[in-house]
Amino acid sequence: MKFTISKDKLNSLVQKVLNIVPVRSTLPVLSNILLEADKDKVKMRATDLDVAITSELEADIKNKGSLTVPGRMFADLIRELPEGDVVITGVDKRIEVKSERGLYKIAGISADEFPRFPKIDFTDEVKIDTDVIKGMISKSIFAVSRDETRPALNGILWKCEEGLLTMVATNGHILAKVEQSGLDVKGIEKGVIVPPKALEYFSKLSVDAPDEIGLVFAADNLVLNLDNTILTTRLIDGPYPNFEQVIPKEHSKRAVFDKDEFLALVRRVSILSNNITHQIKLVFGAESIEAMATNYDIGGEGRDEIAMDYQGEELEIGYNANYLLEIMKHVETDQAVMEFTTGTAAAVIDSISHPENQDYCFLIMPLRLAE
Amino acid sequence: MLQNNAGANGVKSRHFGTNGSFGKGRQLTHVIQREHSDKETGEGIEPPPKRRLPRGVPDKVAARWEGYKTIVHLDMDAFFAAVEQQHNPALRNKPVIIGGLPGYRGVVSTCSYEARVYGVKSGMPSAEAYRLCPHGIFMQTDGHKYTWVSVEILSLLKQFSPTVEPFSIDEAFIDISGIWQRYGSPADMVNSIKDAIKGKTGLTCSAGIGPNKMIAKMSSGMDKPDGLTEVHPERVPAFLENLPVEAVWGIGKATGKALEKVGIDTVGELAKTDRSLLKRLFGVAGLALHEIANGVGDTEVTPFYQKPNEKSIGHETTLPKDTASVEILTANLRMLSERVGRRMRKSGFEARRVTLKFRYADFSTFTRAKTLSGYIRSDTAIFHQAMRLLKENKQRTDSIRLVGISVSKLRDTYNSFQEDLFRSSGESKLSCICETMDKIKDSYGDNAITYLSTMTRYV
Repeated sequence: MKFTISKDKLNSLVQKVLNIVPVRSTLPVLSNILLEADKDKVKMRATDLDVAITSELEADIKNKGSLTVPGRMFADLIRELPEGDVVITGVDKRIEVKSERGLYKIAGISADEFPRFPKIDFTDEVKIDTDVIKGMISKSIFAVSRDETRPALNGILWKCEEGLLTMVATNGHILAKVEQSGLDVKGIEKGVIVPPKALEYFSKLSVDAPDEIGLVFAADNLVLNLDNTILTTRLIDGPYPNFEQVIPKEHSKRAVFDKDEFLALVRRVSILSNNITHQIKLVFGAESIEAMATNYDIGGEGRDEIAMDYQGEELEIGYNANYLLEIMKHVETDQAVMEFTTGTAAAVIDSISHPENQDYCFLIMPLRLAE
Repeated sequence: MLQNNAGANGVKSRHFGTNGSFGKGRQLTHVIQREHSDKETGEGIEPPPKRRLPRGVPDKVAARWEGYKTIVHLDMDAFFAAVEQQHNPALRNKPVIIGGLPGYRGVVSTCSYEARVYGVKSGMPSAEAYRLCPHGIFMQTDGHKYTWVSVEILSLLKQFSPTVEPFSIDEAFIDISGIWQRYGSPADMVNSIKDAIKGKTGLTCSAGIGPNKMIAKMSSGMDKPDGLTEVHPERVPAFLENLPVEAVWGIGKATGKALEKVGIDTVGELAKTDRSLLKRLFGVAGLALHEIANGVGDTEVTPFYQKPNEKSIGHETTLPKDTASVEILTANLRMLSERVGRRMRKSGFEARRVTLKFRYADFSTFTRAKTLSGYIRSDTAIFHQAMRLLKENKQRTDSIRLVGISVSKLRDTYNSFQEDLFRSSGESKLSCICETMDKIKDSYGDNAITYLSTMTRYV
């Protein structure tokens, strides 16, 4: 293997795949990046066995070949090289990095030991607007559960029926649902659960991604095609809980208030909430929301209120302040809406209006104070 | 004195592994007391009659405690047996043995001093106690009675100091720093406490006074029954020097044997042992042992009104008969998880680790634990983990004699409960059921409601 490429191009390629290289791994070869020189392109691959990335760039290829190199060391070296062309040569199981005046050698591991990447069939590929998919991910990903006892909740549910793509995430305490119409993604009518790691990374990568990305669902994998970069992620086995059933269809109380004022109120009062439960008590009255918090451990308490428009009986209800803040950040209009049935059931948080073709809502469950 | 409710059939609620061995080094007691009184009275008088330090110690002696933490450990003498003897005068001066009845299976919880003469000891199988003392009066434990007396004593102690930490049903720590001056000396104050307890309940206790909880606890066991041992901070090294290592709170048989193997028999030797060697042998616990051996200990008495910093909550039970029956083991694990769960919720905790202990008929004992990724607080979740541990680890088909469950990695719930969207499944719903059962038990007693499978444990 031998090829020449500019330092800047090489650096951007290495940095792209480096994020997927696991920090610790039981399988030593996973700490490595696979380099492949083929025809006129150089490819780099990395995987942690859950997520895999392949990224390629054009380069001046002298000899074909492949080898794996320790990812972090290689990346550190490439970043520090001076500007100009770099010549990479595979000699036995070592890689030689030659800059204008320097020569570096790093021992690698044979490419045969690197996990095989599945062949991807792009015939069923669907093209989707990058910003739309990014927006849907960001509105739902924060609600994904980190509790390993319910594995199905450790990912975002993607479901597409009759041109309506739905993404749902929940940790059992909060739930986020986003819908976008006018999209036709094949093969996920019954829904698949996508783990968040690849999606988080996609959101980071997509800053300089093309306007449209390709999606392929195949054999327990989701493939995200960003032209020169392909992200593949394993899917989580279901079944996903019946989320439709827990979304209240009716409400008896409705509050409309200024989102930023409410955010500021919750932030202020929650400073004095218990730092494990983050419990904050809200009292919805005719014209105001009153927020209260107590932290017995530090002997602190706080009470504050803002004006609002409320219809229904007075309601006193406890919430985890962090959940409220997380959800409110994703309400896109200046005014936010909260709808309730009872003090022990889920409340629906929504914006006052939605963009065309898009719908979303959030659920939050109360934090009950035992007598 | 409230945390541990002694239950029926010899279940003594203790956290696993905290059964410290005391009452050793009896011969040393006198030596220490003699030195003690010689120095402190400064007149070389004969040691006072056992169990009482002289009242009205000269001012300069009392003043020597000035500026030191003064911690008292009170340990009721043969508590369960003594309560029964007070309750029924006909039992007084007779060998009373509380715990399992000899015809059935079970162990001795407590026995009166009259029974100890025959060699009967706490923790001994009832059958063996019967062989040693066939004319003994065997009685089942009556948790309610003991708890009631325990509460009485606790309320009495609170009149002496605001800093009282109930440590078990029959033990408490009291911080008397800055308070004993009113009574003349720490010993005078403790004698007043002992008199007050005796006056109110007729019961005697043994007390230890020391600069920290460790020393106080070790010294209260020095002179039982009805004793008082005072270890002044400056006398701590001399006090510890010749004690056998097993007298240390926390060193049981296993650690004791391991220390003996490397030639450490006394606390003094332990104190001089290289810390790195102890760390190699026992890990972090080894360093803790070294500190204890050098008289360093916790001085923080957690007042009764503060939540104790519990590390684990557990119950175990010796089965009425050795059994290999899955049904009976299941029923007993149900019963134990119900008790553990209730106590855990009462203290306001949820747990992330479940430990199962089981002992075969040949006394070989296993403990196996599992750490979970999320916190649990329902009886059923504890039970399922315990059953799983039993299935995965019970490799022999022989009969089992004892089972126990404990939970650890505890977290304070601050009495708040996050509702779950999918409550129809899982822990959320189970917790709701448990909380409701707890309320029923609070109103109508512990036996008002239980799981059907718990009730089948004797079948």
